[in-house]
Amino acid sequence: MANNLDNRSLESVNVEKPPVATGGVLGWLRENLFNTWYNALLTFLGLLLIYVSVTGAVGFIIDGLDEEFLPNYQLSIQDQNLVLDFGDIQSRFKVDEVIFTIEHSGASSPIVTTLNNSESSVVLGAFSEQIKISSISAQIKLNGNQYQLVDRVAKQKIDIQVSKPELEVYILGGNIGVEYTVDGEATALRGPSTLLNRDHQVEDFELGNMDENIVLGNVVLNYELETLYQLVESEGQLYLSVEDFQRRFNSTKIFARVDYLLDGQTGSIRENIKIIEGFSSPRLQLGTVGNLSVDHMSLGFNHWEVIPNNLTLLMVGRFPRDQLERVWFSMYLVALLLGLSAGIWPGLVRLLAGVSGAATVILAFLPFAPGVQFWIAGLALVGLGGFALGYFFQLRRLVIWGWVLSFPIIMVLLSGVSNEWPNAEDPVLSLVNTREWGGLLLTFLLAIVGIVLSFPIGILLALGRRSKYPVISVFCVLYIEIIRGVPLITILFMSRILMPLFFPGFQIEEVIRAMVGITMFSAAYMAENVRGGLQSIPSGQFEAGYAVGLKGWQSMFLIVLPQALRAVIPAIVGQFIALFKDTTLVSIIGLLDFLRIAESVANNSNWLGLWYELLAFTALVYWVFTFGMSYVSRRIETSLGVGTR
Amino acid sequence: MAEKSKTSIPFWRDIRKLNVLIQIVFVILVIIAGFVLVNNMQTSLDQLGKTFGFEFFQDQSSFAIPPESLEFDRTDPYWYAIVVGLVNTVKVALIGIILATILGTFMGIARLSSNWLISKIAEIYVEIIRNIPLLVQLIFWYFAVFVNLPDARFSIEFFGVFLSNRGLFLPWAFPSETFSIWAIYLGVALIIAIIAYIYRRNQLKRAERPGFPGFTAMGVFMVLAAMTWFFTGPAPLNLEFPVFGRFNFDGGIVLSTEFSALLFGLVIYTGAFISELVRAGIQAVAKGQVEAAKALGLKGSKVLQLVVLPQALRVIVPPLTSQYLNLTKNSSLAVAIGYFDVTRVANTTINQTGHGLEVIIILMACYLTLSLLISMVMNAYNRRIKLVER
Repeated sequence: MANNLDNRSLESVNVEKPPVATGGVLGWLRENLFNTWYNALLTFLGLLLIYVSVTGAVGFIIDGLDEEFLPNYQLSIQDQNLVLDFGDIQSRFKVDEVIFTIEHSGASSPIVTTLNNSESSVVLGAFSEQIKISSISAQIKLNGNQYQLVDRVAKQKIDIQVSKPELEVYILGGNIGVEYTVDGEATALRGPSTLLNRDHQVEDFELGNMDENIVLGNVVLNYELETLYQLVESEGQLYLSVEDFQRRFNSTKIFARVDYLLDGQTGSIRENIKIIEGFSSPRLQLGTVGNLSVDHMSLGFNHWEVIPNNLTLLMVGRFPRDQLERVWFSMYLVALLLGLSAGIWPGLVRLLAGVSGAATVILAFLPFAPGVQFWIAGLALVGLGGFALGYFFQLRRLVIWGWVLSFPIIMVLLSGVSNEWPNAEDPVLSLVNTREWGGLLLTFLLAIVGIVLSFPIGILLALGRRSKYPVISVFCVLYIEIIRGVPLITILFMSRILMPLFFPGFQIEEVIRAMVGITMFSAAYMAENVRGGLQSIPSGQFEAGYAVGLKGWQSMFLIVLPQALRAVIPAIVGQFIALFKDTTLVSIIGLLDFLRIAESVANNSNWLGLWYELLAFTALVYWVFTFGMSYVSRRIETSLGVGTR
Repeated sequence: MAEKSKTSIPFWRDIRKLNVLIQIVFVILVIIAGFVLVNNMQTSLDQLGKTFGFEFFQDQSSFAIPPESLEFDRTDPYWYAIVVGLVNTVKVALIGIILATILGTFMGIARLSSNWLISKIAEIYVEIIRNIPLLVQLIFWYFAVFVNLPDARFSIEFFGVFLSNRGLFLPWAFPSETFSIWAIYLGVALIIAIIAYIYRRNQLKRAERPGFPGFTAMGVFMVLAAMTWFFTGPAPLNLEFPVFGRFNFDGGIVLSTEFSALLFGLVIYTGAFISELVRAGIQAVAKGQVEAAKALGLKGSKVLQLVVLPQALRVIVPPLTSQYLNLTKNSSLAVAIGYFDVTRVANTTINQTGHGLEVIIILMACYLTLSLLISMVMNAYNRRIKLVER
């Protein structure tokens, strides 16, 4: 017996392992990352994933690509020839052969050039136009092995000018016409040339020798242009609004390419068709010819300067620059109200205001233009002042009214009252056309208008859906289910195309049409949210209302609805977030919202192709706001205790 | 007599009559509003010299659609263009739903992993992707990534798949001449599999045991398909790998840049939402359930199969349906990146013909039909898995 016991105790001593760390960093690692063999494997896989993505992202943000693997090359213009010089590639790679491929915007096929061992530069040929090099790649043969070097984001813009024909494309009686003038000693100008639209439908036409102008008959775009032409006329304008026309026309993005032979050199011009103002008929013109200069010559991959250079554009679009203080005043109003609310209500509101205030203070220290810095600093001060006021005085009722009235006040501030008040020379609130609203401002306006206007409609639809009258309830169900069954973009198309047809004689701005579409769409979802809230209220509440002698509508609006709405606040915040993201869709119908402005900057010839930078910035801004709002929504959810009761 | 008429309720206080009256007034109001709108539209159309009608769908479309699923030529009529667009939409939605479900399930499970790093990675993925508008992501994938991919000659290769700025080139099995014989065998195998399914189901029912007769049927089918594969002599399917020729790839199939970018964006975006549903669904199964199952002596895999999954699916499936609907509807954003889905075709048709109202009616009908189909399938599935209350 004793022997047995001894044995056992010996055994237990033998199997005891050395003590493992259970606390501290090591213990945490053991607990959370390496507790089983497959978890250890997963951890290594995760670390690999993080390594790859972080190095990729850092490399992209700082420089774009692994520079070490790129030959250092230099492009220059010599006697109207583009010369590629890659002097030190030989010293670095000891190559047998290098094949360079350069893709650029001017031609359909890439330039391929081969370098032999003895050469250090190569002439790529003559270009008679502005070219934008979109990618440079090299294939290097090194001791028989092939290596590929790809520089995908080479953003070089090279302007070369020779005596090239200037072309004008215009609309004439529903036809697209092309007119050209040639400076210098042009010997021949020949076709065939092509006109393309964004769907890459190619229309060939012959450019006769030394014809002064030609008319392109029977092009595909012909009818479309005619339709647009008529639409503009039918909206009761005396003259053709060039802006309006341009906006419609831009959505189809037409560009023309003309190939020509001039002074023994072939070349081609491909330009987006633009409209020049000041003609009685809309006139489209090919882009102007650049000067003899080399722009962005140093090879850099990322051009983050595109963001600060276009910041005002990205924020407010084409809002008149001399009226910008009105946007600032709107923001001051919101800051004041937020400060006041933070003073009155502790908890979530105060936290939200605190975080916004801190963000504002940080922004004020960023190197914006001095005036802008002053405005931002003022924003933080106004918020702080509001906080003090709200904290020390009883302003509850006033602040609630302030929030209710802030929406119409901001709308009036932004759209203006009259051009003649108090006098025509210096109006206080001159009219700002809604089509000049743009950028992040428009994005916010669309989302806020959508949620505010859809609120009452949504409540009505929800009540209608639960109505005891079958006709009304069927109507509401049909509306809600049809709207929820189709994508927002079809609703936006519908409101854009059909509203002018349904209300002839009124000139409805595109922004208003988009707002109507967004409100219609949002109302259906709002109705479902409200219905969910109504269903969560037990019928006893209704009966209690009846019992104290309230009428049906009274118990609905005074007892049931307030409780129902309180229960669906998180859902409504969630819908606001979704709507904020969905406003990007208006860029498809041609409104200049935040995303569309970013796109248009990337299409601008000065910042051509800087998609990475602009989209990264756009995504970041959307992310900050959406993430912030969803955080707030989660906090509201816990503070209301929805789902826990 | 006079006494009686006095006591009868006047109609404005008779709740039954009022009910009817209110509805009649509502109908009249709706009809008046509709009439005014239709009348206005007629006036506007007259001013523009257009008429309402669907005849133009017979006209020659004169625009080209790059081949994605069906061939389309510029001489084909408009209605066929809409059909091609609809098939393209269905194609991207169907593949997208399958891939998004797989990605979402993986990420949802990863989020619940006991491994801190893996769950954080999944969380970061969800928080980044959910909070950036889909359109921004699509434009990023298309303009900043897919269009900027290297030229076909320098394409990125992994396991026979080539990625370049011409699209995604995949290996694909093409039927050979013996395929028709094999197809007959497959038909027979399918019938046998169905019989096996019914037999197994009844057997399980009699034994009152839970199980998956579908797995048995699938196994039978696979075995028969593999056996007949060798009976047919030369292989009925030939696997072709894309090989770079003189200018482009030969062999395999190609997914266009637009399709790849759209699919990529949709799958990543919807996958983030689905992963949240999967996580919530699994978390909704009370811990006691797992412990009780273990106490009964079930193995780990059986606990997941018989206890956790059936209960989690009940929570997951209804919101999953709405995510599938969202993906289908979101595929309309293809219009921004040049994939010819039904919305883009409709938009081009409107631009060319000017018949906005008619085309929008057709477009909405297309999406409503798709939404209805998805809802029907998912609701049928939901009925099958939902709690049977006794």
